[in-house]
Amino acid sequence: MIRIFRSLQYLFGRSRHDADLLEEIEAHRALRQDALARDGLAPEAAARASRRALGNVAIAVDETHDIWAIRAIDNASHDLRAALRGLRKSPGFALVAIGTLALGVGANTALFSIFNSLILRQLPVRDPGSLALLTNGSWSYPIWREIRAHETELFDGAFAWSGQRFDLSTGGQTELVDAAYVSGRFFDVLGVTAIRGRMLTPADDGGAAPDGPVAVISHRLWRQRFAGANDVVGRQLTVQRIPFTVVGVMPAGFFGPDVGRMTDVVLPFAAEPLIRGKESRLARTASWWLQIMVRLKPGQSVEQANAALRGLRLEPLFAARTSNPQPLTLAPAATGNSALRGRFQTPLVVMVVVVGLVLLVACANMASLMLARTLARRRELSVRLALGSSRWRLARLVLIESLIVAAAGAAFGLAFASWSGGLLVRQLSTAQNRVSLELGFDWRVLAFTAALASLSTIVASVAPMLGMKRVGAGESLKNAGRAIAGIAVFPRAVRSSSFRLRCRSCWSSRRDCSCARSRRSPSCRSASRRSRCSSWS
Amino acid sequence: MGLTNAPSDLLPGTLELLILKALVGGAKHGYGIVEHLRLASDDVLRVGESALYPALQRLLFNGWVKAEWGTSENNRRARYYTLTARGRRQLAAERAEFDRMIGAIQQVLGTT
Repeated sequence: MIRIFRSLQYLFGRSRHDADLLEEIEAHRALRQDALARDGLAPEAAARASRRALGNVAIAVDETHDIWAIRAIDNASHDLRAALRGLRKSPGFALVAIGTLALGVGANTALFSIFNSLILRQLPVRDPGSLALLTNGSWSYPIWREIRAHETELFDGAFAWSGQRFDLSTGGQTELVDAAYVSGRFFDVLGVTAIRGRMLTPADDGGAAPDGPVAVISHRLWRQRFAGANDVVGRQLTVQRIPFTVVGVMPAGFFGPDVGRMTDVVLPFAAEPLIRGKESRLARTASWWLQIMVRLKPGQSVEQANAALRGLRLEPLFAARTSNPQPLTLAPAATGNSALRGRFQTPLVVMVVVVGLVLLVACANMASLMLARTLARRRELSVRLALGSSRWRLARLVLIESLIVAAAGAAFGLAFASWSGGLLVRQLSTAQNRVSLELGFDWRVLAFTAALASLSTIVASVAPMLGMKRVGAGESLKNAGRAIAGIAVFPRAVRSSSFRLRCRSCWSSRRDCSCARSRRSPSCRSASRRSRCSSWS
Repeated sequence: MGLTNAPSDLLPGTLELLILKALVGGAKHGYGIVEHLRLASDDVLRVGESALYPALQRLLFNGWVKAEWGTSENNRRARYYTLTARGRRQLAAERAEFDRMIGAIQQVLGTT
């Protein structure tokens, strides 16, 4: 293992390594030249002679490359092949171990990927770190209108949205999708650009929208409802029985500002009176239905933003909302807004811990399987030891075997996780509240799975490595020999040939074993010799 | 003064043994090792000078010696090699093996 590490070190710093070697050889040549000059040679002759004394430096550099790189890689690939062969020889063990681990790793990865997308992952927008959410519930449109009037002087930008469910059917059965009303600069402030057509602009949100009632649709809706048609821009989309013109498609992976909701249709606030008619909430001061987010100016802290916001003196507008009005407070919102988060954070953490324990059990299982396998392989291992393999080499074999099992387990675990993760998310949905979570396996999830696999490798190989200490060279050969000799009915010829085989193995394994001499002598086959030989082996 | 670069006609593996032995006395750079071998063998053993370096690298790779940059007699940067604890063990083991081998060869040559 140390050698593999050295080789990797070499492979990454190869040019440096070669330069060092050349410098060293050049220093050598200079010393030789000085010595020759002291012996009375002219400087040029000494330089030439010193070069001749060195011989072919290029070959020497080449040879060192072989030493550092090729040999270690050879060793590693040899170990890998040996481990694969060992696993192929016991497919039952391999299947059970990989299966156990796949379930353990899969369950963990599935939960972690939910945890990751719900709690850890940042919104897929420009610079999510500078977004801040107006906390403590929902807000009315008049409050938003006040903030919007000052958005560029107080912040880098601000936007409001309100999650809705809309019926897209033109008649007949209703087709409900998750949607949202957004303010005009919503996409502009988030920094999300259209993959087809354009996004909404402040003009769409104004009174006299140039294109009439417009809508932006999600990548998913575009693929599902419009079959990914290139001419989707300009087509009609019926929302709550009112025709809208599709002006753009959002990029894949952008689900809106609400984590756990796939916002399929986005309309400007200007469309709200069209849909709700006299019921419109735009002018109502006591309708609390908006979420508001701001983008902080570069260098602006959340506290400064809070102070700026409170400077607007908006308290009269929301004093009636609760009996105990809190001052307006922004909170960092790099990970977006989510109603699910508050509801599921604690249960999720508990489940992650529980499933972690399940993995630990799976690891312990695999460790005992590996240990049992090592004990069952005592004979093979002791033959290897007798043939001159070092204990470290055997330990490496066990380690690489567990590594292969863990890697295969992790691979199957990932496949299992992508299936079970989706299943779990669907379980969270209710009829009123559809939960849609993008469970992309990003680097965090992959790193998590890799960490699980390495952890299980270590846990699973410690016990067998310790168990291997008890395996002695040639010990099981002795037992096998005795067992054969003990069967009296065994034909004499077979017995003696098995003995010869045993003798040969100790002849080749121990160069200094005097067994070799006894093998040549005719009395080798006698019973007394046999017992002596077994004590040598 | 030998000016040849004849390939080492030593027994295979002997060069490493000799280098390890040469380093018992303390840290040496490559040139120092070559000169030590030449002087200690009364000019009989002449190591192919660039062949020394792959051998040194093999010792480094196995962790039997370690290398440190220092300044040589003529004020150049030179790599000095020192024996490690594992190197000492290896030297003892190889030396025993070598003695056994030479003994066996002599025994064979001695039989009539």
